[in-house]
Amino acid sequence: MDDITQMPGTPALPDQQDAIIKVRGLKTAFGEHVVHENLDLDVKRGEILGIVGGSGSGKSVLLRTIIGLNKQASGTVEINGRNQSTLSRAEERSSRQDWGVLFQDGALFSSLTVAQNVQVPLREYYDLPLDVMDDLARSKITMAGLPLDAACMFPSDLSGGMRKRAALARSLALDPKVLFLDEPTAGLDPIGAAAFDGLVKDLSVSLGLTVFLVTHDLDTLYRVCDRVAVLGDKRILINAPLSDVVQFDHPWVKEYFGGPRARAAGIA
Amino acid sequence: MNTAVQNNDFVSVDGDGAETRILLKGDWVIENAHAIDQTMRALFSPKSSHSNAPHTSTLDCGGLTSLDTTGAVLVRRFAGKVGEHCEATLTGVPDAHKPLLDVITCCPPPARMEPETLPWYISVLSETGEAVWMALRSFARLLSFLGLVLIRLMGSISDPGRVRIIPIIHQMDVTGMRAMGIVGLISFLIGAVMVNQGAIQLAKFGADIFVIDMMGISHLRELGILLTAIIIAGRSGSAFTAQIGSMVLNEEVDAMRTLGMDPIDVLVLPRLIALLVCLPLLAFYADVLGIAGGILMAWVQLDISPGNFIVYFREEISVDHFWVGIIKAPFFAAIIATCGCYQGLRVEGSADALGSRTTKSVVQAIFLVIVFDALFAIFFTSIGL
Repeated sequence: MDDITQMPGTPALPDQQDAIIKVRGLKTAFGEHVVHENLDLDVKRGEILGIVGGSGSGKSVLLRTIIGLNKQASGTVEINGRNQSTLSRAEERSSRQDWGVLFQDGALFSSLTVAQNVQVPLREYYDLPLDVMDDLARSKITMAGLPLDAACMFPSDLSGGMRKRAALARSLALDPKVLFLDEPTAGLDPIGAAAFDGLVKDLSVSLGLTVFLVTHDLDTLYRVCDRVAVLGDKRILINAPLSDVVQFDHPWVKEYFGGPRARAAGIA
Repeated sequence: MNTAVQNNDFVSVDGDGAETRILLKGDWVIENAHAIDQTMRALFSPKSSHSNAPHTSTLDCGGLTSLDTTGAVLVRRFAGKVGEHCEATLTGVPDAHKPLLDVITCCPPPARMEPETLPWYISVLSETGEAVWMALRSFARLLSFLGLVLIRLMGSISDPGRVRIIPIIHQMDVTGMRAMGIVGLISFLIGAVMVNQGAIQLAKFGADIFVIDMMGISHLRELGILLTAIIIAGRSGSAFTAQIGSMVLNEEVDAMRTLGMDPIDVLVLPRLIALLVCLPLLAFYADVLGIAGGILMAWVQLDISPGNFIVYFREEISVDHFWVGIIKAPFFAAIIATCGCYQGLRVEGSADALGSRTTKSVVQAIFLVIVFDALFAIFFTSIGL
C-alpha cells in the first residue's frame, strides 16, 4: 500500500494515514520452515484488532516478531512511525515504552509482589518518589480490576485470572499506546473471560489504547474487536470488521466462523 | 498553603482569602511526574500549612494539555492534599481527559498497607527462635523422608518389578560416568600437591620418603572419598533438586501421582540407587588417580621412580586404609541423593524457591557429609583401625 502515491488534494484515507503498526513484506522462517511470507498488516490507531488463525499458523510468532522478540528474515515492522529494525539502542529503549505486552501466562516476575511487578518498568525508566510510585502501582492494580490486597501478594498466590490482571497492570505501567495481548482469555472461565474482555474494552476507551490481540476465543472477537485479521497461507487473508470477515470466501474462514462454536457465540 | 510558589509550568495559584483558584496546566505526564511532585510538596510544605487557609479551593484542570494515568494519579493526589485543608472541587476537565480522570478518581486513593514491624529486640529474638525451629523441623523432615525412601527401597527388594532399570542406568551415566573427568582431575592434582607440599616440610627432618605414607593414608582414608562426595554433591545433588523441583513446579509430579506412579519410586529411587553404585566406584577411581598424581610428583620432585614408589607403598600402607575410605562412600551417596531429592520435592511456588532449594540441598549435603566423615573418623579410631 505504501507505493500508492497520494494524488495532491485528495484527503488521505484514514487506513493509510493512521496506522500505528505497519507491517510490510514480512517474512519469518525457522530454518527451512517458512512461517510468514510477504505479510502486510496495518493496525489503526485506537482500534482493537483480533488476530485469528489455525494452530501453527504463526499468530504468536507474528506477535513476537512485531515486538522484536523474533528476528524477521525480511520485511519491516513499524510501530508508532518507527521502523523497529533500524533503531539505535537508545531509540529502542524509548520505543519500548510505546507498547505493553501481556504474555499468555502473565510472565510476572515470581520473586516480586504484584505491586513490585507493576513498579519494575517505572523504576527502570523513571526516578519517582516512593510514595508516588506506590500510589501509581495501586492505581494500576485497581484499574486492572484487582482487589487492593492483591498488591502485596506474590504471583504464585494468585489464581490464573488474577495473574492475568496483574500482568495487565504491569503492561499498562508506562501508559503504552499499544497493548499486545497473547490469548488473553485462554484458561479463564467464561465469566472471567467476559469480565476480562470488558476490562480490555473499557481500558482501550479510557486510555486511548490500540489493542493487538491474538485469540482463539470467538466470544472475544465478537465482543471487543473492531476488526479481525485472519492469518493463513503464511499471510493475512483478510483484515476487516467481523461482519465482513464472516462473509469471506476461504475454506478455513468458512469452517472457523461456520462451526457450532461460532453459532453459539452469535456470529454466524 | 505556600503561596510563595504561585506559578510554574504545571500549577498556578491565585485567589483571595476565602477562595483559591488553582489552575493545573501543561503536560501532566510521567516524564514530568518528578517535577510535579516537587511542586506539590513545595506547595504543601509544613511551614506554610498554618497560614490563613482559604475555605474553598477550585482545582481547574482547563489548562491541561496532556494527561496520562500517572498525571491523573497526581491530580487525585493533589486534590486529596488540597482537600485536607479545605473544601476542594475539580472543574474544567477537558473532554479528552475525562474518561481517564474518571477511571482514576473513582478508585479511591489506596490506603497504605505495610506489614507490621516488630521492635528490633523482639525481632532478633523471634528470628533466632524461628531459625532454630526451622532447622530442627527441616532435620526431622529430612529424617522422615529418609525413612520413607528406605521403606520404598526395602519394598522394591520384595517386589523387584517396581525397580526402574533404565532410569537407573541413565542416572549412573549422568552422575557417575560423566563425573569421571572432573573427579579424576581434581584427585590427581590434590595427590600431586600433597606430595609436593609434604616433601618440602618433611625434607627439613630428612624424612621426605615418609611423604608416601602421609599421602597414601590421607588420600585413601579421607581425601579421596571426601573430595568425590563434595564434587558429586555440587554436581549431581544440585541437579537432582533442580530436575525434580522444576517437575514439581510444572505439576509433573502431581500428574505422576494421579497416574498411580509414586514419585519416590520414579524419581528418587533411581537416583539413590545409581549414586549408591557410582559413588564407591568414583571414590576408588579418585584413589587411583590421586596416587598416580603422587607418583608423578614424587618422581619429578624427589626422584623416586614409580616402581620404587609402588614397592614402598605396598609395604607401608595396609589395605585397611582403603576399606576405611571406601566403606563411607555408600553412606555419603545416600546423604547426597536424599538431600537433593528431598529439597527438589519440597519446591513450591516459584523459580525463586527452586534456586534457594538447590542452594540448600548442596549446603545440607556437604555439611552432613563432613559431619558423618567426622563421626566415621572417631568410630574407626576407637575400634583401632
